[in-house]
Amino acid sequence: MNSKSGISLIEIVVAIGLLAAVLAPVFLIFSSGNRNMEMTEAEFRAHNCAIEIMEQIISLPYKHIKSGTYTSSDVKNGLNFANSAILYKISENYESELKVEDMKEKGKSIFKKVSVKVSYQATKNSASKRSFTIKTMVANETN
Amino acid sequence: MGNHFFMLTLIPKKGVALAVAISISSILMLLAVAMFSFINNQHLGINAIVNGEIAHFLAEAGINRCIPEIRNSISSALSTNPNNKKLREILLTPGKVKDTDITKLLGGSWNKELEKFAKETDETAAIEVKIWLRELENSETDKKVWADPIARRGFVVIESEGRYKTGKRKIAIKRLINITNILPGFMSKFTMFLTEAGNNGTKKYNIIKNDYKGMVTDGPKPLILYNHLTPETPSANSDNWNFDEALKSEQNEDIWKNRGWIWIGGDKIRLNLCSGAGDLGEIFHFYDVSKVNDFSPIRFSTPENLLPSSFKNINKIPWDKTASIIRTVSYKFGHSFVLDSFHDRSNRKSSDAMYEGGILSTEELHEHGSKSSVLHLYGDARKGFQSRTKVFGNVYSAFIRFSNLEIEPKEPDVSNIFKSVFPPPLYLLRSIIEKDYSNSIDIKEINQRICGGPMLKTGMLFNNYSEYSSFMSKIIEQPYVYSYNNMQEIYTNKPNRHFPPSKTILSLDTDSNISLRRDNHTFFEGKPSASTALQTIESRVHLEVGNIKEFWDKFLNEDQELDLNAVVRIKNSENLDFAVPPSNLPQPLKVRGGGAILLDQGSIDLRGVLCNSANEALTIASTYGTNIYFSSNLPNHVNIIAPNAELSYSSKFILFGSLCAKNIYVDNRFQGGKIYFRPETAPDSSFSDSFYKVYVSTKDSYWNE
Amino acid sequence: MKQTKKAFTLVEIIVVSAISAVFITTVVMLLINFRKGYSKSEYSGILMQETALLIAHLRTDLNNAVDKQIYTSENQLMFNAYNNSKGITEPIVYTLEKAPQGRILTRKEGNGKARTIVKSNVASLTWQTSLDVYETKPVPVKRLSIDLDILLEAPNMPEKSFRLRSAIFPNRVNKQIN
Repeated sequence: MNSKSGISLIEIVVAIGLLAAVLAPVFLIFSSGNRNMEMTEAEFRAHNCAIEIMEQIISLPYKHIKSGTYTSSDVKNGLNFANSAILYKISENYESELKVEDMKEKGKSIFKKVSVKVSYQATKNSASKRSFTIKTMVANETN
Repeated sequence: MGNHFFMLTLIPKKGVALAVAISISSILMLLAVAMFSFINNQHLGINAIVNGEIAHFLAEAGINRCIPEIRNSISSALSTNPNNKKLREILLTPGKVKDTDITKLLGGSWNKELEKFAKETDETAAIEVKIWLRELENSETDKKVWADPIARRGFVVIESEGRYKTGKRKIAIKRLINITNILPGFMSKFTMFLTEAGNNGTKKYNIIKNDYKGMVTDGPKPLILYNHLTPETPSANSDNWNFDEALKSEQNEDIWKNRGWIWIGGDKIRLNLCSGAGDLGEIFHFYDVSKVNDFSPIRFSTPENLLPSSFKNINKIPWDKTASIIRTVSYKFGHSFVLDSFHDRSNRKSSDAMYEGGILSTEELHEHGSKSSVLHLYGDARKGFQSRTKVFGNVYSAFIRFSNLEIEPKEPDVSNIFKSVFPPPLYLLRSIIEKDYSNSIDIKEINQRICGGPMLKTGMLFNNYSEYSSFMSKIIEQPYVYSYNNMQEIYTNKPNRHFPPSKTILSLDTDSNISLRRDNHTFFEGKPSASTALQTIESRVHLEVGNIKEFWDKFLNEDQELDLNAVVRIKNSENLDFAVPPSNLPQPLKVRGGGAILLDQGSIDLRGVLCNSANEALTIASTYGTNIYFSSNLPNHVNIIAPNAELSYSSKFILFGSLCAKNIYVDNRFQGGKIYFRPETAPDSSFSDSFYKVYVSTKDSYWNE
Repeated sequence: MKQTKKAFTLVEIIVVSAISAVFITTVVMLLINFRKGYSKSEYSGILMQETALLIAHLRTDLNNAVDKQIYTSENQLMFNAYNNSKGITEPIVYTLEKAPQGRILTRKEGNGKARTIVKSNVASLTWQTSLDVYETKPVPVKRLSIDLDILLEAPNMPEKSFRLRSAIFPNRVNKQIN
C-alpha cells in the first residue's frame, strides 16, 4: 500500500520528462511562431516594396521606361528615367535588381519586359536572404 | 495524525503527477497547435494577398504582350493585302455581330510565350489570354446623314488571367473598335460640290476669254472636270482602259449614274456645260465624237410641228435685191442651229469674244454684269471624250443666243443666187428682250451681206414677241439637262437631230432628293449638304491630335510616307495652314495607308499627294478652314471637304478625287485646273469595300480586375 | 499495530518541494511566455493582415479607377470605377468610421452595403493624392499617386500596432493623364 499511495521520484522524473518532451516543441513552436510572424512581415513588406517599384516604373509613358539592367544602388538612386529620379516612394530599403528588356519587331519596339527582383532578410538575425521576382510587360501603344 | 493528514493531503497519490503532466502537456499542445495554425493562417493569408499582386502583374503582362499585335492583326485584316481572310469576313459582314472569341483567329503564339514568361518567376505561375469581339453594333444608321451597314462600333475585350502560387487575378480590358469607311460618305460621288457657288455675285466664275481660234487668252483659266474614268486616273482597272468602250458607254442613257456629279449650291448660277475638242475645249459646241480625230459640228433642226405657223407654209415675200424691180418670191422658212457657227471665228481678235459685243441682253447685262458670271464647267476637254453627268442645284445652262433661220427660195434663179454665195449666209435670230422687240426688225445675214435674199421682217414670221421668244427659248436659256439629253442623241447617232430632244432622259434637279445605293442597300436619301458630310467624318474619328506637327510626328513612317490607316482629328487651335506635304518633306507626299484627316480649322495647302495604290484614298477635311490652295502643279490624290473655304488662285492644279468648297475665287490670277473623278472611290462602287478601315483604340475604354 | 507507514524524510520533502517549485515555476513561466508570444503574434498578425488586405483592396480598386478624379478627405477616399459585371461605372468609397473600440475602415461599392475592411482601431491614417510632374520633352510626364500612411492598433492595447507607409500609382489612370 505504501508503494501505491505516494508519488515516487521516478514518477516525478517521468512526468517532468514528459512535460519537457512536450514543452520543447511547444516552446519551439511559439518562439518560431514569433519568428514566423516576423518572416511574414518581412515578406509582406518586401513584396509591397517590389510592387511600389514596379508601379512607379510602369506608370511612366512607354518611351521613358528605359531598357537596361539596373543594380540595387541604381534603384536606390531613384532611376533617372524622366530627366529626374522617378523611384522615390519606396517604403523599405531592400536589395533589388531591375531589368527592362526591349522586345523589337522590324526595328520597332513593341513591348518591354520589366522584372523586379527583391532580396530580403527573413528575420533580423538570420544571415540567409530570400528573394523573389515579379514580372510584367508594357506595350508600346504610341500610335 | 499530523503525519496522516500530511500524507493524505500533501502527498499526491501515485499517478497524479503523471496525470497533471499529461494534462498540462495536452493543453500546451492544443495551444501550440492553435497558435501554429493561426500563424500559418496569417502567413497564408498574407501570402495570398501578396501572390495576388504578383498574379496581377502577370495578368497585366498578358494584356500588354498581345495588345500591339492584336491591334495590328485586326487593322491589317482590312488592309490592301489582307492576311486574315476569316477575320476580314467577320469585320465586313454587315449588321450586328454576335460576341465572338477571336483568340484562335488572331493566331498569336502569346499564350505559349506567356506561359514561358510566367514560369520564369515560379513553377506554378501561368498567364492565359482570351480575346473577344463584343457588342459590335451599327454606328451609321441615319439615311439622311449616311447609313452604312458595315460601319460598326464595339469592343475588343481582352481577358487575361495571371496565376502565381495561391494568387489568381483576372483583368478584363475593353478597347473600342471602330469599323468605318474612309471615303467621305456621299461626297465622293461628286466631282465638285460647291456650297455657295454664287456667293460673290457677278464676275464669279471663269469669264473665259477666247481668241478667235478658241484658245484661252488672258484672264482666269478654266476649271475642267473629268467626271469619268480617264487613262490617267489611278485605278485598279486602269489596264483595261479601252477607248471604244468608253465611247460606247456614252450611249447608255443612264451613264450619269456612274459619273461624278456636280452640286452647285447657293444662289442661282448660270452654268455652261461645255464639251468639245481642243486643249481646253471649244465652248458652246456640241461635237459628234464618234470619229476620234474628226469632230464635226452638229446641226439641230426644229421639227415642223414646233414651228410657228408662218414657217410651215410657203411665204411670198417681195424681192428686194433692187428697189426698181418689184417681184414677189416664194420662200420656205425653217429653223435650225449649228452651234459651231457661233463660235467666235470673226476676224475681230477681241479676247472677250463671247460676252461682249452685245451678245448678252440688257437684262442679262444688268443681272450678270458685262462680263457675265456664268460658270463654265468643262465637262471634258479632250478629243473623243464627253463627260455627261448630272448637275444638282440652282443652276441652268445658257447657250449662245442665236438660232438660224433657214431660207429656201422656191424659184430656181433665186435659189441659184443663194447657192452661189460663199460662205452660205446665216440669218440669225437673236435673243432680245420684249421692249427691244419690234415687228420691223431686219433679219440680216451674219456678215451683213446682201446676197439676193429677202430682207425679212421678223413680224412676217412671228406674230408677236411671245411667239418669238418661245421659239428662241428652245435654244437659249435651256436647262442644262436639255443639253445633256441632246448629247444623248449625238451618242446614239440619231440621223436627224432636232431640238428640243426627242427623248427626255434627265430632268432638272434644283433642290434635290438624291439616293445612293449599293447591293440593295440605301446609303443615302435626301438632300446632301457639306455639313452632313463633315458630321459623318467627325463621327468616325478614331483618334485626336492637338496640332499639325504632332500629326506628322505620329503618322510619317521612316520612308517619310504618310502611314495613316485611320480617321484622325487635328484640333489645330493655332489655326495654322495644313500643308500637305509640309515644306520639309519631298514632294509629292506618298500615302501608304489611306484614311481621313479632319481639321477643326485651318486652310488646306496641297503640294502634291500620291496614293501608293488605287485602293487607298485620302480625305482631308477642314470644318472652318477658309482657303484651299494648290501651291504646286503636281497631282493630288485626295478628296477635299472644306465647305467654308474658297478655292483660291494658286498654281494650276490637278486633283484626283472630289472637291467640296464654298466657292471658287476667280479673277485674272486663277490658273485653272483639272479635277478627275475617281469612279472607284464612289460610295456606290463595288470597290468601296476596299476603303473600310478598322481601328482599335490605343486607350482602354473600360477595364476591371 | 506495527507502524508500517513510512514518513517522508525532510530531505525527501525538500527535494520534492524544490522540484515542484522549479516545475511549477517553469510551467507558469512557459504559460506566461506563451500567452505573451501568442497574443503578440496574434495581434501583429491580425493587424498586418488587415493592413495587407486594405492595401491590396486599394491597389485593385485604384487600378480600376476610370479617371484621375480621386477625392480624398480626412475620413474619405472616393473615386469611380468600372464594374464589369454590372457594365456600369460606380463610385467606390472608403470611409473611416467611429466604432466602440476606436475607428474602423469600411469600403462601399456603388449602392452596395459598406463592408468593414479594418476592424482594429485605426490610430492614424493619411491618404492623399499627389501629382508629380517631370520636365521632359516634348511634353512633361505626369504621375499621379495616392500616398498612404496607416497605423493600426489592437483594441485597448495601443502597444500592439502595425504601421505601413506606401504609395499606389494607378497604372491606367497614369496612362490616361499622359
